[in-house]
Amino acid sequence: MANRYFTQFFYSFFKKPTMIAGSAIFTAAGSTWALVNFPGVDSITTNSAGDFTINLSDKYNGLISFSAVIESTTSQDRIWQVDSNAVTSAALGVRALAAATPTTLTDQSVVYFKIILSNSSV
Amino acid sequence: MANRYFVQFFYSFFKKPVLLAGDATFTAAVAASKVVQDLTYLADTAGTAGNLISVAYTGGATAGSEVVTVVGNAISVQIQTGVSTATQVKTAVDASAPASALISVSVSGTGSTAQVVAAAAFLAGGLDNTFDSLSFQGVDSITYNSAGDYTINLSDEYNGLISFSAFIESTTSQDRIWQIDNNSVTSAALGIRCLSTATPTNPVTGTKCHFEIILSNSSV
Repeated sequence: MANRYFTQFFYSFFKKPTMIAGSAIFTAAGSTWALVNFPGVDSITTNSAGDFTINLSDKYNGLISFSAVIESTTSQDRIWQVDSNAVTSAALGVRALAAATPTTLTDQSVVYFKIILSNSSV
Repeated sequence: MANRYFVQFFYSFFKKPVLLAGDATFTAAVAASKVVQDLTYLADTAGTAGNLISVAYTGGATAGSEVVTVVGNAISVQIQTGVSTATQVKTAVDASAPASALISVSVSGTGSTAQVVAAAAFLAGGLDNTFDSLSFQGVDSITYNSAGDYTINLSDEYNGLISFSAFIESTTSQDRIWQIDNNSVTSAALGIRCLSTATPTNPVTGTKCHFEIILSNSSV
C-alpha cells in the first residue's frame, strides 16, 4: 500500500469533527441495504422509493456535511439530499433524486457515504 | 493565510484515512484541419490521429472530371492545374467514399477560383481529449476512456476506497453527476463517470474539475 510521507493532521474549526464513512449495497428486491464496511452506522432502512434513513450507532451534536456517490456499471443520475437531520437522535434521513423525484437505485448498486459530524456542543 | 485556532485532529473509525484532493482541466478533442488554396479540409474524427491525414493535388486530369485516390490516410486529387475550380475539386472529394470517410471539405475561399498542383500537406492542429494542468498530489494522471468515462491513476495502491466526490468549476452551468464505475484502488486506479441525465457526458472544454478521494491505507 501507499508508503509515502503523509501529513497526519486535518485542521478544522470544529472541536471534535468526526468522519463516518463507508459503503453499503442496495438490493432492489425488498429495497434492503447490506453494510459493507461502515463503522459508526448500524443500518440503513428504506422508507419509500429513493428515501432512506441512515441509523447511526451514536448520537451526535450536529451534522457538518453529507455526501454520497454510487458505484455501478449502470449510469444513474442520482442527486443526494438530506431530508431529515436527526443526528442528535442518531438518524439521518436522505433521498436519492432523479430529476427531483426520489428514485430507487439499480439492484446491487454500491453507495459510498461520507458523513461529517460534530461531536462537541461547543 | 488563516491564523485562527483550528482543531488539529479529525476523528474517524478508519486507522489510516488518506485524503487526496486536487484538480485537473478537461480539454475536448479538436479535429485536425488544413486549408489548401480555396478549400478547407477537416478530419471527420477529432483527435491527433487526424494529423496523419494528408491532401495532395496532382496534375493530369480534365476539369470537371477530377479523380480522387485514397491510400491509407493519403488523399490525392488529380486536377487540371490552373483550370479545375475549388468547387469542382470539392465535388470530386465529396463523391469519394474513402475520402469522405476521413475528412469533410468546405469552400473557405472562392469556389470559382482555379486550383493548382500542390504537394502533399498534412492536416494539423488535431488534439485528443485530455485532462491536463493536473494539480493533484497522489495522482499521476487522469485517462480519458470515452465520453464521460475516465480513470484516475493513483500514484500508489491503497487498501480501500472510503469516499469520492467531485465538482465542476465553470462559469457555464453543467448538470453533471459523478459516479464510480470501477473501484480498483488496490491496483492504483479509480474508474469514474461524469453523467448528464444518466448519460456519460464530457464537461465543457476548459472546465476545471475538482476531485476529493478518501482512501484507507490500512488493511485493519
